[in-house]
Amino acid sequence: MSAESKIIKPIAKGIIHRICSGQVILDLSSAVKELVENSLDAGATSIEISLKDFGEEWFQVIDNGCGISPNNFKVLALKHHTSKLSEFHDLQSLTTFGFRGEALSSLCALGNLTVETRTASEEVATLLTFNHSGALADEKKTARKVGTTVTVKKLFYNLPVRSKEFKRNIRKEYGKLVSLLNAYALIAKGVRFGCTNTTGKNAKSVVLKTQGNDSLKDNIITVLGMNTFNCLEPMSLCISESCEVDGFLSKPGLGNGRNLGDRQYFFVNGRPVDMPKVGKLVNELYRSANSKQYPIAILNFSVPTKVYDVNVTPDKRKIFFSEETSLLQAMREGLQQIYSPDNASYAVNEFMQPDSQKKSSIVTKPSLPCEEHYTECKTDSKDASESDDDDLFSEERLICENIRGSTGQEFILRAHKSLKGDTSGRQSASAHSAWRNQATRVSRTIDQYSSDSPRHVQSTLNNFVAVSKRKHDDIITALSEVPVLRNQAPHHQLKTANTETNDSITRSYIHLDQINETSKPSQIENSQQLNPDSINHKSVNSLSYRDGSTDREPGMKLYQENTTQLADTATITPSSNNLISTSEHVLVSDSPIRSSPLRLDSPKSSGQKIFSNMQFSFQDLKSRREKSSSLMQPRNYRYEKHNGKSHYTAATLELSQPESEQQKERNLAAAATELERFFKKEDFSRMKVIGQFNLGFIIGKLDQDLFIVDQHAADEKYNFECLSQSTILNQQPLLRPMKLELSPEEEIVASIHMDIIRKNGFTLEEDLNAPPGCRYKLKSVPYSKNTMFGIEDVKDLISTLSDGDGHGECSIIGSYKQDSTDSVCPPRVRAMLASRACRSSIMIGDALGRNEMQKILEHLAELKSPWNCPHGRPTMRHLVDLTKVRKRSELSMQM
Amino acid sequence: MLELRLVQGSLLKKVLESIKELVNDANFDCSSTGFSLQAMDSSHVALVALLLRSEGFEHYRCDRNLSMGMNLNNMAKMLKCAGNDDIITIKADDGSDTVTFMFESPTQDKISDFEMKLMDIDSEHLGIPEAEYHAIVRMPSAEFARICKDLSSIGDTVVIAVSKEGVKFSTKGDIGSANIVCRQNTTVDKPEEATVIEMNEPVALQFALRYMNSFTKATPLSSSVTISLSNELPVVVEYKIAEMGYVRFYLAPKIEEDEEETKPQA
Repeated sequence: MSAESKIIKPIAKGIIHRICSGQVILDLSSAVKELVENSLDAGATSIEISLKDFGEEWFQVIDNGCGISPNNFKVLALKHHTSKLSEFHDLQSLTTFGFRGEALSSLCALGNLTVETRTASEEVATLLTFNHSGALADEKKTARKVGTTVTVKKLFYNLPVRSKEFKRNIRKEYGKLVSLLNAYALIAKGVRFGCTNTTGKNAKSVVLKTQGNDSLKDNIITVLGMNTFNCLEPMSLCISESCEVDGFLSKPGLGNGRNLGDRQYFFVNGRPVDMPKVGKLVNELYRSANSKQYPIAILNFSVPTKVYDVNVTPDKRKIFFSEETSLLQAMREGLQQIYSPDNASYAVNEFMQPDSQKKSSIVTKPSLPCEEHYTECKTDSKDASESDDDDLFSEERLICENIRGSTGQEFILRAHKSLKGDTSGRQSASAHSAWRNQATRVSRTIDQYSSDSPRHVQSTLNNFVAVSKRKHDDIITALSEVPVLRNQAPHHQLKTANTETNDSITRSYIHLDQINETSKPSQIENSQQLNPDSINHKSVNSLSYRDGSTDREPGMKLYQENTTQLADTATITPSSNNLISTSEHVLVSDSPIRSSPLRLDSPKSSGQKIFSNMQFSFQDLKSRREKSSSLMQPRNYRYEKHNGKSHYTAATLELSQPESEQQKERNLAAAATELERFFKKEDFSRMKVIGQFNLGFIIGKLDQDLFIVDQHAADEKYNFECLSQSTILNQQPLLRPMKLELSPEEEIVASIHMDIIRKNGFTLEEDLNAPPGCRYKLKSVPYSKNTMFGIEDVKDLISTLSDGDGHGECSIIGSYKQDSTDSVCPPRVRAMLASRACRSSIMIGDALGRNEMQKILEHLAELKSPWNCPHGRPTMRHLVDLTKVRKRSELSMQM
Repeated sequence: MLELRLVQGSLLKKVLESIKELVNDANFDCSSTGFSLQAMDSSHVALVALLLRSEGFEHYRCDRNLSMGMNLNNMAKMLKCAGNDDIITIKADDGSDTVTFMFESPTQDKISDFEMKLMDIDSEHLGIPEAEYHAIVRMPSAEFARICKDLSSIGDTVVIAVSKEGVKFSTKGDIGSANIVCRQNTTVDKPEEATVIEMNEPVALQFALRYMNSFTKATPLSSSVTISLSNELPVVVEYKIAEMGYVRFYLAPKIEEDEEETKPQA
């Protein structure tokens, strides 16, 4: 042997430093990540990252955190010096991102590090320069706000290979950095992120800019955009007492996912981490709801710090959980409920005609009915307020301007309104007068009431206007003017989910005030039956608006119906319908009156109390409202009601817990999913066959909706499920076992999943003495009819199993794979069954009798997952909502 | 140098037709005693053994043992070009990578030469042990083919049960079940139409009909077929080729020990 035994000796300190540093700071994104985490740990609320030439020249992280105190300057960039950890067991209770004390020292070793910092107790900032070993080289005073700026120049310049690589791949590195920053920007609440890049002599280009919102929802909207957010559904899962998962996931259904699995962010207590197993699980379950796309997932795991270990890899992206199996199991169950194959939501098909464009735009725009309402009474309320309080007037004008500036939509709406013609003209006129009456009375009563009450209202109004002005940038939809404000309070709440809790309470408080005031006159002016009636009516009406705002299409309808009714009461033309509704309304007006003494007795009692009080009355009102609306609208069909109810509950939730941000988010999402309806598979059996279309499709009617069902796809799916139930795979032993050439890795997978392989009809024989790579021999294969499965299929199966979840997860796999609908089986088995099912099914072009069609629909109701045929084509689509067709035909008759 | 002259050219055509469905590529082994082939089907479920003894050829010359790898489909394509009563001569030079098929019309006025490229196939030669079977059934081959065809329209597998009374073929499928019993029958005019059962002990084994149907492609080769069954051994379905040799098919019975039936988990 030529190599002699060499002497083992210690490595010099400087060399250690450089070797280790290269492990901590791998690339641009890990360097910036360390600095951003430091800033977050320092409690910064604004973090700005600027790059020069994508970070190749220098990069800088500027924050407004607590700064570094002067006695730490010397040790700041020394290896393994940190303020975050002193004992080893501190690791278990870690709440900071960093803990090893390596980041700055590593950056020193790999680039030129300067730090500019100032704490609140110092008058001027200090500029610190460090040498490569991490020692403080220079220190001088400079000007800066409280906070820290860390600048690293020429990263990797002293590591030739890495430096080359770094320069070559700088764009890629930059891309990685941006996606990493996205993750931090999503999860960090109340922190403003900004990232800019300067290339050459060009101006700064902004890559990322967030507002420092307080909720995940707003972060998602700013980082990923509103369109993306609309495709998301909030989820929250309690895995155990201490372990919770919350966040957002893509909604089921085609078009809501992404074609790439790139937007999947997982956080553990706010730390962005990689969770391949969770990711795989989410992807797998999402496939049952949307077979072609990947979900977007933004999930934060809130777990106690002692049940996981983050000290695994230098970049801290990998995490070990002590209870990973149960976590995954619970996740699976929770997600299965979301992506259950039993229900499918489908997009309601809007019935469009060229001349009805305006109308449908109203139906689809969530807040338009309300806007229409604003514009109508804007002028009136202005008049009313002019006669009253100057302050109020200015207030209102401000908001009116707000509305004007916000959107031109209302003008179109107004145009549309006039289009509607004479019939509605008179109605709206009377509505205006009623409004005016009410508005004047309200403002007068405000004056008349105890002196502090209006002032209170005033101040909250002031408050509110300020808020709304501030929010104006973000919220495109119009805010409201005063009389509408109280009606729209919850609506507004929905829109500006991050309004302070206080605000929402006080706003509801106003709301209560106003209700009391409107009901008060009704008590006083009992003699004047007509007026209070219309006022009561108005209050109910306003309630309906509020409901309507969360409930797009019914709201629209309610509005129309109500105005008609209002006109009726005003002109005193009592019809039976009317009588019922008036009595209803009197009843409704009771409840605020009942609650008003309470409120009046304790005008200064805690918001909480009033709040709960109000909540009661709201719910009461709402239930009455619901009743009366069902009386008023016998045509209100089931779906709508069902929907309406769910949104009522959403709205109720809203009112009862305005404190909880999450709740608000959820309700917002609920409101946003209105155009989607839930369809249970049992509904197939209730569907009535109308007829066959084009010898290929069944037109079915369910309540007031028409659906189109693909006869071939439907029958194919039924046959497929029957076949997969009944087909037996025969086992055919081989005359001579075949050698399976597997990689050693695959052999391990095979040995773990022997039972699954056996269940699929393959028998493997293990030869422990054989060299690795040919330990397994195939002894028997499954076959069915003329399809024989062979060695390729075993290999397929093994590779599915191996990328299913690596190693050591056999216990979970074993239990869940068999029960779930998409358990592991060679793809060819599925293909075989699918092709058999296809061939034996009713074809497009077959004429069908009514009974046959009904049978197809009934079959669908029995299936596990009737939504897609085995090849992926949808079986059912929504065609049209009959109520809308009818309504329009009525409208056109009116015109 | 190899030169085999077969007057009954159609025989070779039939042999190829009978095995090309099961086997794609195979080595033909030529020795001084005869021309033989042994090959597994691609999924290693069935085995084909073919033997054409040298005596059956009009002229047989094989200087030294030779193994020729051929694609049976291609070979069948070439043999299709031969007329039914043509004389076929197979020729190959030592060390050559081609084989030549020469077809002579009976009147000798047309001679066609087809040269086919050989291929390298590594396959181990399996020693097939001579075994004692529990039951041997000889029956008309057309009858057997008919039974297999009929049963495969009903089920996937056939149970062949041999008892003193006769041999019972039964199957079960989605639409129902079927049983066909062939009794021992030796009192016929022609011996090839007889059904003869030799049995030591009753046997009942289950086989994939798909393979049985492939085996019956050899029916034109012989008017009778011999089925040898034994509990631990693969079934042998043998078609004798008049005075020359045989085509034997081997198939393992379906495993029954596994009570729970495997279902596809789709």
